[in-house]
Amino acid sequence: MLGIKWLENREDKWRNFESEAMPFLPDLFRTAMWLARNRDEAEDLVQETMFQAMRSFHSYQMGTNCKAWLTRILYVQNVRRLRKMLKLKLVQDVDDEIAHTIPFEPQIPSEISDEEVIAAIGRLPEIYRIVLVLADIEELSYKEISSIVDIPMGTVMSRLSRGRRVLRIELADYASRHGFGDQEKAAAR
Amino acid sequence: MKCREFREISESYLSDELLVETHHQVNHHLEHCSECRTDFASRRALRRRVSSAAVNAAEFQIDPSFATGLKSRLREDALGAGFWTKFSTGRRVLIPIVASLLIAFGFGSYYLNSSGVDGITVKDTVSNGLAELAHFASGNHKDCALEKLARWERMSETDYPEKAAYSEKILAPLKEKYSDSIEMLSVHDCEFRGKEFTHVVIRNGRNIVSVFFDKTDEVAESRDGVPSPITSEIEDGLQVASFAQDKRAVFVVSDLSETENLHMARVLSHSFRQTS
Repeated sequence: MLGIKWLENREDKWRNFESEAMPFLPDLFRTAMWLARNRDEAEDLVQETMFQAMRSFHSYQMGTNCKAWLTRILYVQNVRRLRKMLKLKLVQDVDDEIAHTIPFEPQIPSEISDEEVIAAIGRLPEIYRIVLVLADIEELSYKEISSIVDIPMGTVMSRLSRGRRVLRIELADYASRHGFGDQEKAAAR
Repeated sequence: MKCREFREISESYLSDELLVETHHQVNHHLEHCSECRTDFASRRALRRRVSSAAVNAAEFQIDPSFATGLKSRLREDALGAGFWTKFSTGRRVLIPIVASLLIAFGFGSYYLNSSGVDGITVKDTVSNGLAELAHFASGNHKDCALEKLARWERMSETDYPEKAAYSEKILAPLKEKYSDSIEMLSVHDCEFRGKEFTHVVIRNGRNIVSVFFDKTDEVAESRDGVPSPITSEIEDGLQVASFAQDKRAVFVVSDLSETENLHMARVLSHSFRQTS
């Protein structure tokens, strides 16, 4: 009887994990792609994350945002992965440097393709990119991002603000180089 | 609220992070200030553009076969592997109980499987028949690749006219992913208990890995447009990863760990899909 009860508990735990965590697999993969920039490595990262999440599922508080909880594990796994690959570079906090080099906020022409938008996000400095991805694509709150990336909320806000600005400038620059947006500017005048 | 104050909090407004009262003040300001309204509309448009571009891009979509395979492995780990580990820690008195439970579980699974209950068996995720063929592949690997190992080394260059094509198809992606030291020992056609395979024998370090292409049966490659999942099981103590490609079952059989064997199957499946 004990054995059967124990099996039922495992079945229950799996069902809870399946219903709470598995629906976020596509979202998790998207974030993993931003972190790993390679499909095979993103899949490995998601797999490691999900196995880790299942082992730690007892620490998840039901009713809280499971996507944020999983994303935190994904982020930690990625840091471990980078350390293991000895590719972890010390990232200088270039916040101030960039903040002083942003003179204006241009309009973004609509002709720019989705591919160029994605490429421009990919070119963002990593410290801005991850915050922008979590806020604007994955729609996580400042508080959740602060917990995932392990930085204060004020830093989340400033990095997001600067990341968005850099992205606007990148896309406006691309548009002007390719002659997009001239008609919109003329119409605005 | 003044324009300067709005600009200071506009990013938080965009992220919907303001307190209700401040939110109202911003709304009120935007109603009366066309300059801030235009600026904010542009920011919001960019945010929407970023979100839709990333969410809809093909390169960011999870591979359904990977998702299905991962779910199956997680489930197996949650219900299967842990079960055995828990009871294999030397408590001899529990062995008869475990044996009884396993028998009961086996009969239960068989019953549920044959009665078509959803979400119960591996077969549920591999309705295209790969599971039924997996044991032929493992038997063939044991009988052919492992038993005749010395022979492969002698005849490795001359055994099959299409060896170059298989070298390109199988060896190239594996070398690219793992190591240049992976070598192909043999490509040949063989039969095991009435099932015909094209059998590719690979050496990866000290491990012998077989890749089988079933020549006898035609299998369903997809269901409702979803590619066949890669499934994994243990047959005769060997790891067997299976998937369908060009309506043929493909098996990767080895004594590698489950993760390593599955990973190899995934590399091949991914490579085949790109070249087909």
